[in-house]
Amino acid sequence: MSIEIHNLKHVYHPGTPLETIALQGIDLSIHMKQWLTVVGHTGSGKSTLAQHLNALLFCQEGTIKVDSISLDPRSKQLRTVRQKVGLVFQYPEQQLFAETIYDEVAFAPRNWGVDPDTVAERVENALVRVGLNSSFYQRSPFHLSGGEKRRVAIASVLSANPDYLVLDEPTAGLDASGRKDLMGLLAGLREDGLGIVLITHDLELALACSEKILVLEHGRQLTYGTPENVIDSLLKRHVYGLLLPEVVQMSHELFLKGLDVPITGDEFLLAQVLIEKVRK
Amino acid sequence: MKFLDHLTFGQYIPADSFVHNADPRGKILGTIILLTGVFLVKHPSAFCIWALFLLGVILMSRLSIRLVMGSAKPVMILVLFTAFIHFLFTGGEPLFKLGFVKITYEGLRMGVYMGLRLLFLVLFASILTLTTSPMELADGLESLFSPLKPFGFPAHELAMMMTIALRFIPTLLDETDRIMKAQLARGADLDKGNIWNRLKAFIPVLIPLFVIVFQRAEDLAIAMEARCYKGGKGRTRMHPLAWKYKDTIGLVITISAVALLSFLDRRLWL
Ligand SMILES: Nc1ncnc2c1ncn2[C@@H]1O[C@H](COP(=O)(O)OP(=O)(O)O)[C@@H](O)[C@H]1O
Ligand SMILES: [Mg+2]
Repeated sequence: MSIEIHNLKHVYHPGTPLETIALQGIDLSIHMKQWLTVVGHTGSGKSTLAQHLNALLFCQEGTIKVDSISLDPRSKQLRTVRQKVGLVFQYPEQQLFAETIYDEVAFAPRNWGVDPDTVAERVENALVRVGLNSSFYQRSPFHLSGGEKRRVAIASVLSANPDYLVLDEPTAGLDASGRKDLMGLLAGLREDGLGIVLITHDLELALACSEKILVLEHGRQLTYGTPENVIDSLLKRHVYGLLLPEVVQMSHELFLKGLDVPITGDEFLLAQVLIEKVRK
Repeated sequence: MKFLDHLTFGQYIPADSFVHNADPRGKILGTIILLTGVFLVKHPSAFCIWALFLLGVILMSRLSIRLVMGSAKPVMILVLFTAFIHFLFTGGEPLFKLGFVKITYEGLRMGVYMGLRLLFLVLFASILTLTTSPMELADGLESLFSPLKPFGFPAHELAMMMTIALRFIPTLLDETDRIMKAQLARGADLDKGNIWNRLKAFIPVLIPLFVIVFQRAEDLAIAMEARCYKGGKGRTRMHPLAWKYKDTIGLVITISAVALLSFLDRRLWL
């Protein structure tokens, strides 16, 4: 069970003066229970990639397979794919429309034709997951705070019971504690077996939580690998708009000065190694 | 999947050409003259010469022919419908009959004539918007209407409203596209069933869109107020419109060509 992307290319408005190559030569695979983070500066093609995973955009070249269903505009199984892959857009609170939070979260399962009892169960589960209790059910989503709206919007995607969850810059506009809560939520979902695709321009966040990282630059795949691979390649080559966290830069400098320390984004690990050295 | 094609009717396409660089007032007047000319056409065959004229303008504006033709696509249905109505409902000597449908020579002629007339109107108008940025267009209109200002005509306010409206069309299309995609991702089925069901299916798109539009409008109002916008009085321009020698020549050529063409069409044709 995985999403496989091979040599994907996407061009907006091909054949017109507004032609933009948004993505090219992208190869990657996403498994369930795995966490992939896509990083890149604004305009590097992250959102375009996200929309391909959910069959909202189709590539001009290359292939995408979701659980071996080939994504093609003529495919009869697009709705199945959209159910398997949940997509949380950037600023998802802007899509809220229902009169009550309950209806908002029930929108997706009802669309997929789930029976009413199961809908109720899913709505409850999804809202509990994002930390909203039953006192919220009958309230209007428009009267919530920004952070609460975001959580309702994420719950409204979770209630479809997706196998993969793609989130486009979900931390944008959240404060530090909101960001931490969200990362905790995603880690929990991954434990439960979902495949997570997190899109962000925050390299520090990416290094902290993911198994695999894809770095995009101007629509091209710069690196795709483990956080260590990515640190390696970013130390060799500066990418516009992506700064390595200070801890990484510091450990790298110490390493260059001849100290035997790991090059890492983990400040505790670095501190531990340094303390050991001092003790010796 | 393209839910909304952003290259819709008359989006501005920047380029460096004679038409692009011409003064917007000249272009607006020229377009009005061209449109009047199209209305004055009497013989359908005169459209052959108009087609050459159109081709000339397209070449001068350095736009691809396909792009200009493509921009007329949204109104093509209207053009065909107009032609079709005239095919069917014009009286005269029937060419052939099919049940109660009867096609006459006059009907064919009238259909082609009306269809072409509409098509040429749309094409000339879209060349204006393809080659003139909304800003220039509004400046041009404001300047053309400014002689009416002493009579209380709100030239500046209308131009400002038009600029804002035009400025927000692409943004709104983007927002609509985004919200439609977001609801599709949540399983919304936007194109199934009868008209009523489809309208209902659009509620999840329309409500968020209204919220965003009002939010944007308010943000814009605050931003304008914060920068002390107080209407047109005493306002200067960063790029004042400058009527050049070339603009006069272009306008004179357009007027003479349209006048000559109309004259030939009415007096000498056949
Ligand atoms: N709907 C669209 N039409 C035309 N160009 C687009 C559209 N969406 C994105 N682009 C272009 O594609 C490129 C990648 O955009 P995007 O995927 O939104 O990047 P990111 O999410 O990394 O900021 C950008 O150059 C952008 O201008
Ligand atoms: Mg984006």
